Order: sequence, then C-alpha cells, then structure tokens
Amino acid sequence: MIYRKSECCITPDELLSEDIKTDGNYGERRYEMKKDDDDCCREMTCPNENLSRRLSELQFAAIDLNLYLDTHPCDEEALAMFKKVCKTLESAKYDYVKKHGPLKACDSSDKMPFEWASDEYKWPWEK
Amino acid sequence: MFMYEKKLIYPVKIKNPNPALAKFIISQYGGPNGELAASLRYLSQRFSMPTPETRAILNDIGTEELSHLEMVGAIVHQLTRNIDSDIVKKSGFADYFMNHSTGVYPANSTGVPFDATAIAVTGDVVADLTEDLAAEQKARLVYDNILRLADDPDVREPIKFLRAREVVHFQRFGEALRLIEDELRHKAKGIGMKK
Repeated sequence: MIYRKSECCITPDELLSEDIKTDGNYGERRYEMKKDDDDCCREMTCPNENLSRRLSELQFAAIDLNLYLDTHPCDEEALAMFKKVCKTLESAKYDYVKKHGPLKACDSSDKMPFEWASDEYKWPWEK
Repeated sequence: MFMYEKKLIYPVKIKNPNPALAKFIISQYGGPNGELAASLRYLSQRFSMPTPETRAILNDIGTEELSHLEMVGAIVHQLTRNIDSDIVKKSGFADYFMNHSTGVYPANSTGVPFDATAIAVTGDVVADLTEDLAAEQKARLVYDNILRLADDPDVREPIKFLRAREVVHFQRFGEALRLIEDELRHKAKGIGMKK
C-alpha cells in the first residue's frame, strides 16, 4: 500500500519512520491504494509478523483517512479510499484474530478460561 | 463510547531496559504537553464545538491521543523491566521509584503529578482550536527533546511515530480553524446580522 504525498510516493515504512519537518503550512495529503497487493494475507499464508504488521498498516491508514475526512467531508476520492481501507481492514482483523487471539472482547471464543482475560495472548504493552 | 482493541497503534518492543530514559519519557504520559493532557483537552473541548467538522476532529484526535497515551505507558513499562537497585540508584530513577516502584504514574519528568491546569477548555471555538495548535507544537517539541537524548532505536522508532502524528494533528487543527474563520467571515457579511 502506497501513500502519495503531493507528487512523491511514500511507503507505509517511510511514512511511519520519516522525520517530517514542520513547515507550518496546512497542506493536504492524498492517498492512493496500490492495487491488489492485499490478497496476500487472505489465505493465511503470511507469517505471523506480517499479519500483525499488515493490520497495523491498515488500521493506521483508516485512522489517518478518518481525520482527513473530518475536515474534508466532501472529498469523494478520499471517502472511496477510506471505504476500501475499512473493508480490507475488516478482513485483516478476521485473519489476525484467528491466529493471535481476540482484538475486542467479543472476539473471544467459547473456550474457558475467558480468552480476553487469559495470559494465552499477551496484553499489547508487554513485549 | 469507548471500546478497546487489544493492539498498540504502533508497536513498542524495547529490548534493553533503561530507567534513565523512562524518567524523562514519563513526561509525555503525565506532563503538561503529554498525551493525557492532549486526550483530556480534546475530548473535553469536543462538547462545545459548534460545527460538524470541529466536533468530529476533536473527537477523533482525542481518541487517537488515548492510543498514544497507551504507547508512552508501554514504553515506560518496558524500559523499567528487569532492573535492580543498583541500576535504579545510578540512573537517577530513584526519586520516581520511591513512590511508584516500576509502575506507570502520570507525572512529568521532574515528578510533578498530572495537573489539569495544563489544559484549557474555554468553550470558545477559536480560543480552543488556537490552544490545540499550540498544544500539538508543544508535544512535538518534547518529542524532539526525547529524540535528542535517546539513542536506542527501539525507543526512537515509536517516538518518531508519535512525533509525526503531532505534526499531522497540527495540520488538521489548522484546517478546522480555517473552516471556522471562513464561516465567521461569511456570517459577518450576512444581511440583518445581529451584533
């Protein structure tokens, strides 16, 4: 997935670790989805780390687009992209939960002890 | 309402404990320019916002700041795992340790507990948004200061993420303020406007 900032593309890696300079201008950022790179994880063929990372990337894209749409509620392109990200995010969450346990309490299985609270899956502030 | 998702917004995986770093990073947990202040400020200001854009942006940025609060807490927690009294004494962490052991307590880097006088909620949209712009810059500069003092890449990566987010929030608040100013200017030109 590629984010396009004005004319240059930045990957999620770059986006998350780049040293953004403050220039005081309230510039707009536009996003573009690269096509169909997202089927990779749907069949659960990705190693654990990729599922987690992919979820983080999609979640981040959704949050960032959400904030953009809050102040640009009539940006059709951004809204379409947001809907697409949300849809992909839902399926990524499903795949993630199957491997890594509940994301929300309701994701817990019917096994006991209560999966949400158990130590089988660490809380996210632990390494 | 608030739901919790069991995942950090950005991973925190710190291999080397370092309570000396924890001592000043705690400032972004409970300090005046930290994430607790930010989330409380925005989630409180949202009630008196007058337009759909301002209500939404205050709500959503406030929510994101809570996820940042969690990240900073995780950083401090991981920096203070598996340490002994020797390390505590030598790292300057003893003052905090005295009252909080290796718990995560909302205070600034000099030990002053979180104080809501660091935030303002005036109920006036222009004042509140202007405060928010300043708040994001203050948060950004504290992250700059942390980056000046922290060498560990496991610490630097999440901090750089948090810093980048402050810059984006600054842009969003700027847009919200501009929208409000446009609206006020538009209303001022209206016929029969009351004083």
